[in-house]
Amino acid sequence: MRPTRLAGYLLSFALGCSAFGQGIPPNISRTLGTKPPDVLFTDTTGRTFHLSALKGKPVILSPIYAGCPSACIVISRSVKKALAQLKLPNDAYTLLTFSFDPKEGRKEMADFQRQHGLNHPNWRVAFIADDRALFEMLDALDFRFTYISEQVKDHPNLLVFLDSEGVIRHYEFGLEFTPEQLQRGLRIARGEYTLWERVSDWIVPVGALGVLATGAWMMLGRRKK
Amino acid sequence: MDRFEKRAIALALSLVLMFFGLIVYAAKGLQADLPTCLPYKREIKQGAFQEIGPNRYQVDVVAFMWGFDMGQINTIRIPRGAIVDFYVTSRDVMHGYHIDKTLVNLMAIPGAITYSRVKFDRPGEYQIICHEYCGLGHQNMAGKVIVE
Repeated sequence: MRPTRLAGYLLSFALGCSAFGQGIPPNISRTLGTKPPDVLFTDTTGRTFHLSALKGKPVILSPIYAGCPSACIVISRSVKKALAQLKLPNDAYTLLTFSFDPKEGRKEMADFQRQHGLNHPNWRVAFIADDRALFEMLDALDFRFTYISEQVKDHPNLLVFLDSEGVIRHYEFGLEFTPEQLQRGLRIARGEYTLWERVSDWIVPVGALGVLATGAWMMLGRRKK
Repeated sequence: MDRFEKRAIALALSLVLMFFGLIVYAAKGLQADLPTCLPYKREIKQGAFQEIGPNRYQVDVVAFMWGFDMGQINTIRIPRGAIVDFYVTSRDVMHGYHIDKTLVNLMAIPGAITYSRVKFDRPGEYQIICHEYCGLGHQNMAGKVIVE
């Protein structure tokens, strides 16, 4: 193995270890199936648009902050790489990267977009100018971040997938997103679930009820011999 | 099986079901957050109180023998309707951090950070107490959140 490749793997591993699981995870049982508020975004060209303007195809939301020294850069670059590998048609999705930091605006996001080459036609890089609307949006996603210092914030590393009507359907977690993760999120956003995805949420409660019912029947309902 | 044994088992099962129902009610009806222990290493050396958004606050709490450093010692003031994120740790021994009339009920553990979010809808004084015996001055560990 070439030393540069090995160094790359080691760096990725170290970044992954340091960033994995960071932030307070969202309570997705409260957010899945709900609709985020129709807030007004401003993209890096200065155009404004509502979230509802993106209806009609799945939307991938990527909350980041432009001043992030590590994770947000890795997330955005990995999504860019995964999308390049997938070569999806333009009508398959819209990707919306937006800043969760109320102190960031058009300049910071434009610099971030330029530095990392986020220029795919389906990729909009934006911010929410109204702080109240920004926090309504973050609450709707249950995205919680923490000020470590004025510059550094801890945050969960995730993508949120909305269906074509703007309803939250899926979260993907991680630092380096793979083409498979994006495909899975978009498939679920299109309403195409596997059998396992349909039944997995019910296995634990049904199993627990089964154990209780069996116990009750064995103790109380069994006839005497 | 003896009928008294049956009754004891039935009672135990019904208690399990009742507590399960209460957990579901707390999660769905009261929208209670489970206290979270942050899954990463972050160090809070001193208390801090900062506004992070419109009527949004982050409070870093460092419990010590015997008080709470929250940027100010033992007392913070916030406006009505504020949503506050509490990050709690301890400088010395194990303490507790309970805010009366809320669901904030955290352990303050040296080297670890516990987290809870609460919205203060009603004005008034919310007493904070240490509810983990921590030494001779334990009874002096009290503070308050004043919602104006």
